[in-house]
Amino acid sequence: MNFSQNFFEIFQIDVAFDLDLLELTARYQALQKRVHPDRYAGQGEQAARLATQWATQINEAYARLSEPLARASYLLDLQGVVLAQNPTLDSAFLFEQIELRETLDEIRQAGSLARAEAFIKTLAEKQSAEARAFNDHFKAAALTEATTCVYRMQFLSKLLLGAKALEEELLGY
Amino acid sequence: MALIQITEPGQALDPHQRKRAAGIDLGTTNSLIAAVRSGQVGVLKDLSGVSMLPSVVHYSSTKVTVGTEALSFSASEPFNTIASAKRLLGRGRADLDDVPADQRYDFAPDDGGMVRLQTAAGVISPVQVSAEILKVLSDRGAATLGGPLDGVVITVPAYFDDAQRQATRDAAAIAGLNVLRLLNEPTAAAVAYGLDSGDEGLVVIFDLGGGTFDVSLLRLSRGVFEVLATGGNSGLGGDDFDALVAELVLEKAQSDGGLDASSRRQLMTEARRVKELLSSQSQVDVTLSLPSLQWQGSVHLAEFEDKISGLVEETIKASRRVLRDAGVTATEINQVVLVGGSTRVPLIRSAVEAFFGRAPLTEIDPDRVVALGAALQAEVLVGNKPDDEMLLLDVLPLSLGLETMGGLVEKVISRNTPIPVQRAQEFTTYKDGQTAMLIHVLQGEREQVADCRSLAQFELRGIPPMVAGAAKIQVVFQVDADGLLSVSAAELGTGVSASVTVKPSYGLSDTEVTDMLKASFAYAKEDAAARMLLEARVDGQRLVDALRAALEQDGPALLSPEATQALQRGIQTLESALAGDQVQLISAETQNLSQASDEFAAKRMDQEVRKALTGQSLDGVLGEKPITAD
Repeated sequence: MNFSQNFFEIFQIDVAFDLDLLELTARYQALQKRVHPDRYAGQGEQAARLATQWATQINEAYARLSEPLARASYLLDLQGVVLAQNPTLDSAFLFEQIELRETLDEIRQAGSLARAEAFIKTLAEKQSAEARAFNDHFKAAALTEATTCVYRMQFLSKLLLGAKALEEELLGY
Repeated sequence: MALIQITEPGQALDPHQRKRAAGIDLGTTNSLIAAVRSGQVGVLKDLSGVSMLPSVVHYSSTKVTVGTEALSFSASEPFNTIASAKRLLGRGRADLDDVPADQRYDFAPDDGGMVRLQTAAGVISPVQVSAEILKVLSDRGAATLGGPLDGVVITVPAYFDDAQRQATRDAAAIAGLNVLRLLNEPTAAAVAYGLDSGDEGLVVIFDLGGGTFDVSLLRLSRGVFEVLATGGNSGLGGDDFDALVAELVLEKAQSDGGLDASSRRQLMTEARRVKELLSSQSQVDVTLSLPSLQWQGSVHLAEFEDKISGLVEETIKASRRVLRDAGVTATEINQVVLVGGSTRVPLIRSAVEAFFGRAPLTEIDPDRVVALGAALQAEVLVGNKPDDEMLLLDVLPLSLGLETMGGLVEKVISRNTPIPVQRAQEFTTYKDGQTAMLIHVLQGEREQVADCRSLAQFELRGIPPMVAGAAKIQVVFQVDADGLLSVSAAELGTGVSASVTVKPSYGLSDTEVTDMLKASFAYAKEDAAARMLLEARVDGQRLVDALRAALEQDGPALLSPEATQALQRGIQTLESALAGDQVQLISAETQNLSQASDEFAAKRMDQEVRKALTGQSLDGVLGEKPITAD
């Protein structure tokens, strides 16, 4: 098994951020049909091991490419960009983040499900805007700007997780 | 609908080469075995023509009985008659506080692990109880299909955690079964409905059985069944409805509920009868004359529905959560399938219909649909339908994580991640010269360790002594296609692999499984050595057959003539070992040939991957891109 292939090579698609998700899914399914351990059931330990390794790798590749933030970080990784643990971002963005966190706290205090849902929507829109900006910068080979977009997406994604956890809490899960 | 009809492909296998495969629904209340015979899938019946085997086992000091015969002891010997053992699989005593368990089981002293039961035959694990049920079904399969089963698919609730799945696997091992796959019950139901053939879209499987509730969302496309999200409650089912009916009767009879075990059993049996009748009538008359309770009266549908409304609401809440996890709304659902006897309850049907806004599919008997689907999948997996393109992709039902500082859980793999999956987590030491580390693996969604399910404790030893924080210990979680977890660990800086000692929290160790196997009734009758020889031969022969077929198909393209000859010599060596009766020699030669053919097997797998994409009628960007096999 060739683990040195990058995830785009596994699916034999062009290295790009704006990929066709339906196409990716079709290729994912076609690959899993060939390598899934079910196809090798009862063929012994060797076949099961190989199939599990491949199926795991394909699941990992699909997970990394199908989700925008994971895909964007992966693209930077392929370009040799090492993401900072504590990146410096411009104060306007950070200030906005603080405000958003405060809003989330207010919603938590108020216990309002409707506001939590609206907030999640707002965050998701901001996230999509960053993703579009990433795509433009990445295409233009402006890696510094693209990297900043990924940092921003990381912030938003963390906030989104918090908002979704709050929503679950309010839904009583 | 392509329900029970299966058309065999043109190149149907020689009947002598067909393998005997079956699907087993190991249920809380009843169990079933089904198989494909002459192209038709159906449940297999016992000698008296009955297909449902009550999941009840009776133990006496001399004999084990299973099914209807065992059921007859439930009133007279409640503690020797084990029912609903599925609820106990992979469970500790503390997990069972919400069911009136003390009324039904005589638990052995709690050792913190999986519960064990005191019976006339000694202390019994729920795994052994399940194994007895599996053995009866396996014997029935062998009798009906004309020989021992080559492989089975056993269904489990999608919501089963690792400990419960592992316990099911162990039960199958004790029963001497070759498990092709643990299949999630909802997926099996979708397969039974033939929803793979041409149907595309989103399907909800709502499965309320005797003791478990699952709701799963599946996406069907191009013959692939993908579980998008799954949820439910592995401790909610028809048994709870029975308990509520019993409660209702006790309230009406103004009893304080202080019944002896035998009376309680009889009351539960009566409660089940009442519940079942209330699916088709609005009132049921009850006459109870138990040693400690005399009552005559009737139970009305409205009272019953009032009593169960909380549980029904819970099933709808779980459904809502599954849709939310997958990011879809109820209106996007194309089909709803009902599974499990408890979905006959009218209030369940109407609640499901109201929530999803469509009438659910109920054409196949909800008690049989899972076994039928499992049989269809077993037929594919055992290799009787080589052209079948059906693929079932499953997800991890519950998040896996590790205990961190302060009793909190850090998630390593989140729920609904497609399996098989592998994720690594890095740790470091917190003291200078620390050479060991304890790692606690948990499963569940909550933040606190106490609210999650403990799967195992891992002790890493042999970490090279370093200053605090310098060691980089990588712990790798692997979940296979059955949803079973394995863990390995290594210190990255020095490359020293730390040894891992696994102590499953609610499972059985390998030694315990082996001991139970030895102690099992079927095993005692056989010569242990003969059985080991048989198993070694099966493994060896399987490798010979597979490799020979592979060489014929791909040898010329993928191997040099020398490499081909070397493997052929290896086959001959193994075959001469197979002709003898030395278990160790057969195992060693099987191992040798397996290693020698590893590279060839890897090349074939790489070729499969290449074919997968070149075979697609995609947008033409695919050249015959050579992929180096290594």
